[in-house]
Amino acid sequence: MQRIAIIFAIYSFLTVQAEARPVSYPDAWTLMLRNDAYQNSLHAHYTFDTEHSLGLRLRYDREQDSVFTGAQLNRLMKRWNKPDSQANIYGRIALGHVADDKDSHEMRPKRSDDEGLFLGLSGDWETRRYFVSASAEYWDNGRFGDFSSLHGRVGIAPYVANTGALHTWFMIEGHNRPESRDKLGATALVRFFKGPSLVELGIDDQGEPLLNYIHRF
Amino acid sequence: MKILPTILTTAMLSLTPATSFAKDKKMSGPEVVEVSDISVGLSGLVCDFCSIALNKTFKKRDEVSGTYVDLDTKTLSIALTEGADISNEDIVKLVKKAGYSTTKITRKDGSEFTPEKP
Repeated sequence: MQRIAIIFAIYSFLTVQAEARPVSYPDAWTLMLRNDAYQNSLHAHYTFDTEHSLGLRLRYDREQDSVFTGAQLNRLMKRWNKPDSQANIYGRIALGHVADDKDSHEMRPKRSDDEGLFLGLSGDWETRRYFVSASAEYWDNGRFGDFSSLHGRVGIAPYVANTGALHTWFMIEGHNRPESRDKLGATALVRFFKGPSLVELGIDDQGEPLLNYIHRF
Repeated sequence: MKILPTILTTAMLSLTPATSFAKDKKMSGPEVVEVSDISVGLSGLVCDFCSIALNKTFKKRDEVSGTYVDLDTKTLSIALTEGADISNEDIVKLVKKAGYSTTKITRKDGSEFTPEKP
């Protein structure tokens, strides 16, 4: 509990530094799915004011063979609106329950449940042609283990589309996962974006597929 | 447990869009530009998520009968309901609430308003 209190204090300090800017428009629901070699993740959240959203987070960890179920709070800590670009800094925190996903045919003993904590800090900058983002994530899954990861992404749109048209992006994402089997990796992906829906299809340097989906309601 | 995210996702995708779009009876296409009463210049517009945020924020207002965001011109066009008006200050606040910044407001009568930079 002391560790959680310290992390909360750090998060509070960071958010106090932030200027009050909206994370999304109030009353918006958003669904975010991420599926790759490391995880299947679902985050459904509700933006309840101009800088916070709160929602359900489910995450199956493929390496730990565990499932996190919890509540996640997101905060837009800073936004820069420029005539041709936008930049953002987000903080994220999730608290929940971690359970073993042992199948009946597995011979190992089933691990008992534990508490889980997630912290994330991310930033992005984009124009209608270029995209850059970076994020740092930390998971404390109790007896299931701790792990961290760093991600960076760059993208370019082959054409600039107007409102309501199909937007297409080509992107490269790199990661560093110190506690994973593959510490360094990269994924090439294509993003299709139309109206309220965004789909990303990709493949990593190990040949594993990526499928991400975001929808705003 | 591994299929739980898939099940939840399928359920949400199959239900939510229908309920969401059914509520919106106001104008939202490029035709709004032709009949608009107010043109709002914007900064921070980079994608369709931006236009959705602005459209939904403004359409909650009774004074507004339609909106359209043009990413190319970085403009929000607002059509008002007959006899209604919305102040420049309210427009600036609503744009900020949606997550963006107002650069200039131009009305049908030719009047212009440039908000002070924060």
